[in-house]
Amino acid sequence: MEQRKPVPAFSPADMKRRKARALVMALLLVAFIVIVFITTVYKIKAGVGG
Amino acid sequence: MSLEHTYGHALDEPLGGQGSARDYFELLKPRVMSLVVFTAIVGLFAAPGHIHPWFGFMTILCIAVGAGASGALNMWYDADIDAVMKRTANRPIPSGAILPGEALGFGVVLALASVVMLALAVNWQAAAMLAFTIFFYVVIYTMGLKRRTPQNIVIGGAAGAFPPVIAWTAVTGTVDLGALSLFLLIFMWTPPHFWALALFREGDYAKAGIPMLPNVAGRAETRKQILLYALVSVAAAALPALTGVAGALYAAGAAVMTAAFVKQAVDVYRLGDGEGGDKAAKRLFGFSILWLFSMFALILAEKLLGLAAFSAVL
Repeated sequence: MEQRKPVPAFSPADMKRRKARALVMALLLVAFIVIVFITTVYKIKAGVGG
Repeated sequence: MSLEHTYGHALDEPLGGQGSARDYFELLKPRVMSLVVFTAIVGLFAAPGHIHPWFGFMTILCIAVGAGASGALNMWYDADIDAVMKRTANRPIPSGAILPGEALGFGVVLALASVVMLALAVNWQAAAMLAFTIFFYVVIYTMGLKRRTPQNIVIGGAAGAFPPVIAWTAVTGTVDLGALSLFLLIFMWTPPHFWALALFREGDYAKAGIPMLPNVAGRAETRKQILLYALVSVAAAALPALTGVAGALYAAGAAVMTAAFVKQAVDVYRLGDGEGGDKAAKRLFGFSILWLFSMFALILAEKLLGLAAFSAVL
């Protein structure tokens, strides 16, 4: 069986960039959930369902 | 043919995932987005009726995300020509920071999310219009017109003119003459704005094979067309006052700004080729942005100050 090539290691600069990107994605996801939640609350208050 | 040649990268290089958050932000064309957001906010305030501030915020957010998605899809499709133009060579795809497939996925997800969110949060009429706008910019303009006809930006300009109409529709649930007057302000502004740019970036567009008006019809014809559209923009500038969207403050400011806009277009026409002509084109390009900003800022200022609009005569 052919041996798989090892995945190239990330440099410290790469890791820093990846961490920053993951943090931004996480924050955007939280913002999205908050937005959907508030919108749902207001729609329910307005009597037009979720 | 080597595998590296086939796949465009060495096989031990990571496949994508190299773009930073900033690269993805650049993919959204933030400068275009800022104009879209501003004109949409004005549409939201200018529309007759009331919208809850949260749903107003949701409208602007969805329009901004939809505009960003359009920018990402435009960069995905145009990566080949962006790479050869000086102005666009550093964009995230030609620079290698983001792979075309990543940009495509990013754009499609954002486009779908913005339309669905607008439909669920506000109303389906505005969402349908946002979907049409994204389709118009990506498919009609980017894929269809841009590389085929020198009228590309005339027709494609409609995509940039829709945001205030979408916001208007979010408030009223419909499109009327008032919304159309905001649409026409941007629609008539687009050709002189981009043709002024094309006059001093002609070489770039020619290198990329984009049939901008100066390459196809010549510089003299372009200057004539710029002047004609600037003259038509006088009528477009009057429309918000005639349709009851704007009042005296707008009318006074619009008269001054539009007179200056036409004067700049006359300068471009009169000075022709040479250093003076190039400078005039650059001045017109810069001033055109100020003109559009002023027109919408005047409408917004009137609404925020509670000044009365004229009665509609159209």
